[in-house]
Amino acid sequence: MHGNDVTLEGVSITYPNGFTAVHETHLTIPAGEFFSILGPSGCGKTTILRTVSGFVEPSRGRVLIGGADQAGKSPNQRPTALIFQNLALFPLMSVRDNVAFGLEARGVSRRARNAKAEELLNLVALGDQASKMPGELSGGQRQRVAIARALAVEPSVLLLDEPLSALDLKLRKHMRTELRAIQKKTGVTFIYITHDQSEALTMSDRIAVMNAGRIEQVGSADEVYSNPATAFAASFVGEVNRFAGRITALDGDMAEVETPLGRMRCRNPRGMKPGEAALLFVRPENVGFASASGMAYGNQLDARLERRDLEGAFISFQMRTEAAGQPVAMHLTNTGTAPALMPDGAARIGFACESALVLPEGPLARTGREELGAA
Amino acid sequence: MREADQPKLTLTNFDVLVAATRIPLSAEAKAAESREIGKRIYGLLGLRYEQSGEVYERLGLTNLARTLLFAVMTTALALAICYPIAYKVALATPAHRVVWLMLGLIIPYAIAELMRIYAWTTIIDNRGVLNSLLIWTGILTEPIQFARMPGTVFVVIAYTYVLFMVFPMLNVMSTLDRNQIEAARDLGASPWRVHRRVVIPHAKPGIAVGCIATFMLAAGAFSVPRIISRGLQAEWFSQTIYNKFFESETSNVGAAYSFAYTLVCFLIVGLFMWIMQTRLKDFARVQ
Amino acid sequence: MTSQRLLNLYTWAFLAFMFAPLLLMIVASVNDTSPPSVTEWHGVTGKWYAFAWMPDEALRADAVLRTIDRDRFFGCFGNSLKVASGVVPLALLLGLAGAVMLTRWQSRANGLLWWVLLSPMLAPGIVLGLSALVFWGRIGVDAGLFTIIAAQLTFVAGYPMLILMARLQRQPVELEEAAMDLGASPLRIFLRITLPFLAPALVSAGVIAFLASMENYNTTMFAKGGACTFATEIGAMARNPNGHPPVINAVGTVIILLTFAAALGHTLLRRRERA
Ligand SMILES: Nc1ncnc2c1ncn2[C@@H]1O[C@H](COP(=O)(O)OP(=O)(O)OP(=O)(O)O)[C@@H](O)[C@H]1O
Ligand SMILES: [Mg+2]
Repeated sequence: MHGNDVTLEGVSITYPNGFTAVHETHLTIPAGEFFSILGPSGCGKTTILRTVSGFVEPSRGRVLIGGADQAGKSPNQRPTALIFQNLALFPLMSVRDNVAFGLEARGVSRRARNAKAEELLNLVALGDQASKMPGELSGGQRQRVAIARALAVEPSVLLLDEPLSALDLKLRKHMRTELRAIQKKTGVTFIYITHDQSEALTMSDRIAVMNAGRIEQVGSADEVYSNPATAFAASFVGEVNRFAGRITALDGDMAEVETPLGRMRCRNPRGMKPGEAALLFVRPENVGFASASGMAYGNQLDARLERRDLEGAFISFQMRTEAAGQPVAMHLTNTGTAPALMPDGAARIGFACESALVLPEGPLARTGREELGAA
Repeated sequence: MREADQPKLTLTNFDVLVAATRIPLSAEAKAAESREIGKRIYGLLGLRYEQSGEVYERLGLTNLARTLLFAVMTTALALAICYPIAYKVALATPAHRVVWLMLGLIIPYAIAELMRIYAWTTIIDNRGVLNSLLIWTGILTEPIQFARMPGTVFVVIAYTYVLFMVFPMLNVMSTLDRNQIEAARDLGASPWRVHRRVVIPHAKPGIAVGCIATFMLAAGAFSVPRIISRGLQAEWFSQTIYNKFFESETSNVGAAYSFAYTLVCFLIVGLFMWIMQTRLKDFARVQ
Repeated sequence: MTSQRLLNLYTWAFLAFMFAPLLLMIVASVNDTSPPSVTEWHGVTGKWYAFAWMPDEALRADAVLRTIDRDRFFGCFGNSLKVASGVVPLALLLGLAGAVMLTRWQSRANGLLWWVLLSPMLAPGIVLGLSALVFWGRIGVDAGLFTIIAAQLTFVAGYPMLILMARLQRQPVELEEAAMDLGASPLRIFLRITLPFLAPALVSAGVIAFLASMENYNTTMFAKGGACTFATEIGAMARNPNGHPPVINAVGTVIILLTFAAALGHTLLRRRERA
C-alpha cells in the first residue's frame, strides 16, 4: 500500500437547491499525511469528503489524486475509500465477507480475497471474529471492521467521516492511537473529519480549520493552537480569552491595543495597521497571578475571583476584571504554589506580551460558555 | 367512402349517462314516491323532474350518485368500526399479545373475498340465521327478504372491505411512541383529548390511505351486489357498466360509463387527499 | 379502567363479527341440504367435500351435485393457477423496478411518476378489467387468460411495489454508497446489497400477490372473455336460482383452514425465532 497526494484546485460546491456548502477552496495534502478537517457541525466537512470520494461533483474547480484529474470518475473508479459516519457495514454479510467485498467487486478469487481479509482483520486485531455478523460486534470492533474493509481495496487515500463519534470516551482515546498506528504502518493518506478538537490535535500531521464552507487555516497542531490565523480559528481550537479593542501603535512585530481594560501589548502576526478594530486573544494557561509568580508580565490587570475549580492536573480560575467587568479564565498547573484566594478576593493578574496576539474581527466559534451566559 | 369508415370522436356515448327516462307511474304511486326523501333529494339535484304531468329521472346519474353515496357511507362506517380496533392493537395491547390479535385480523383478511361474501348468504337467506332468529323470538311472523334491501349490500360490503381500513391505520399508529400517550395523560389530558391531539394527528396518513382504499373498493364493488342481491334490487354502478358492456350491444356506452366513473372517483379521491393533506408517498409509508 | 374494558369488549365483538360468518360457513359445509343452511339440520355429510374425488356414477346420482360440471370446475381452478403463475413473477418484477425507481431515483419527474405508478391502485377494479379487454382487443388479442393476466397485473403489481418501497426506505442509502465506494458496479450492488435486504419483503409480497390474483373477481370478470378462473366460476354459482350448492362452503372451509394453519404456523415460527 502507498499513499497518494490529494489536491483541491479552486473547488466550490453548490447543491442542487442552490445552497453553496463549500466556497472556493485550494488545498494540497501530500501523500502519506494524516490530515484532519476540523469544524463545527454543518460547515461542509462531509461535503468535501464526498467530493473527494466522488459522490458529489464540484460545481467549479478540480479534484486531483496522485496528479490525476478525477472529473467524471464515479466513486467506484477512484482510488479512495470512505468510512461513513455510521460505518455502513453490510448487515447481512459476515465480517469476513464485509472486508472481502471490495475485492469481490474486483473479481478476485474467493481464496485470495479471504486470505487478504484474514490479513487485514489481523491488522486490526479481529482475526478471531471473521465469522461473526456485524450485529454481533461491539462498537469499537465494528469500527475496526469498517477500517479493514476500506483498507482491503488498497486505497491510496482513506477518507474518514467522524468515525469515532459514536464511541465512548475511553474507546475513542484507544482508537485514536490505533488509527494513528495503522496510518503509519500502511502509509496511506488519511483525510480525517472531526468536530472534536482534541482528536484533531492529537492525531494529525496537519489540520484544516473550517467554518461556514471556508477553510480558515491549515497548519500543524502547534501552529493552529499557538498561531491561529483568524478569530474563528482562535476561538474554535482550545479555550481562549478574548478582548475587543483598537490598534493604536506598532512596534516591529508587536502592536499596542487599546481595550476597555487598558492598553495591552501583544504580537501582530497579520500585520494589522493602527486604527483597525481588533480582537486580542490569550490562552488561559498563559495568564497568571502577577503578585505570586513575581514575574513581570507585560500586560497586567486587576480582577476578582468568581470561581475556582480543581480540574486535576490544573486549577481553573474564573476571574472578572475590575475595569469593564469582563470574564477571564486562567489555568494554573497544580503544583501547590497557586495563591489561596477567597471568593471575591482581589488579585493582580497578567500575561506576557509574546503569549497574546491580535487578529482582525471576524466570525467566532460558538462555545457552550457563551450560551450558558446568555440564558 | 373512407371518410365514413373513419371512427369519429364523439361525446354521444356520454349522453346516455345523463339522459332522462320517463318513469311510467300511476297517480297514487307518484304521490307516494314524491314523499320519499331519496326521491326528493334527486329532485333537488335535478336528477328527477316533472314535465307535463310525466315524471322523468336521469337513471344513469341517479345510479351513479346512489353508488357513490353508499361507497362514502361504507367508508365512514368502516372508519368508525376500525379506529378503536387499530388503536387497541397498535397502542393498547401488551407487545406479547399483539401477535394473537394480529392473527385475528390477518386470517379473515387473507381468506378469499368471494368466500367471505358467500359466508353471508347463510345469514341473510329467507330461511337463514337472521330470519330464523327473528321469527323464533316472535318479532317477525314472515321472513324479511334481506336480499332485496340495499342495506344488506351495504353491510356486506363493509364487512368485506373493512380490513383494508384497519391495516393502514394500525401500521401507522404502531409507529407512535406509547410514551407520548402516557406523557399526554400525565399532563392531565382526557382520553378524548389524547386521541384528538396525539393519536389522530399521528395516524392521519394511515386514516387517509385506509379511507381511500376502502372507498375505491366499495365504489368498484361488483362481487358483493352480484352475489348478495341476486338481481333482486337496484343495480350497483359497476353492475350497470357490466350490463351495458356485455349484456347489450352498447359497449361504447359501457366504456363511456366506466370512463366517467373513473373520473368521478379520481376527483373524489383527489379532493379527499387535498383536504387531508395526504401525499402519495403516504401509501408507501403505511405498509 | 372501565374504558379499557369497554375497548376489550368491543374488540371481541369485532372479532366475532369477522369470524361468525366464517364459522357458519364451516357448519353449513357438513349439513346435508342445499342451499347451505345452518338453521335446518338434515344430518352430517361429507359429500360436499367428496365432490372432489367421488366417482362419476355417485356424482350423477346426487340431485344437487349433478348440476355442477366438475371437470369445468377444476379446469377453472387450473386456469387460476396459470394466471397466478404469470401474475406473481411479473408483479414482483414490475413492483421491484417501480420501488427502486421511486426510492432511489431522485428527479423532477418523481411526483408524476408516483401518480402514474399508483393510479391503477386508485382506479375501480372493474375499470382496469375493461381497459385491458378493450386495449388488447384493439391490438388483436382475444379476451382470455392473457387479458386476465394483463388486467390483474395492472393493480396487483402495486402491492409488491408499496411493500418493497416501504422496506427500501428503511435501508440506509449509505450501504449502497459504501458498496459503490468499494468499487462495486450498480448491478453488483443491486444483487449483493439491495436484493438480499429485500428478500423477506419479496416473499411476503409474493404471497400477497398470489392471494390477490387467486381471489380476484371484480377485475377478472371484465377481462375474462370466454375463459374462467376459480373465482369467476365460484361467483357464477351464485346465479343459481335455488341458491348456491354447499360445495362452495366445502371449498370455503378448506380455504379457511389452510389460511388458518398458514397464519398460525407463520406466527409460531416467528415467535420461536425471536425466543
Ligand atoms: N444534499 C444536500 N442538499 C442541500 N444542502 C445540503 C445537502 N447536504 C448537506 N447540505 C448542507 O450543506 C452544509 C454542509 O453539510 P455537511 O454535511 O457537509 O456538514 P458537516 O460539516 O459534515 O456537518 P456535521 O458535522 O454535522 O456532519 C449544511 O448546511 C447542510 O445543510
Ligand atoms: Mg458530516
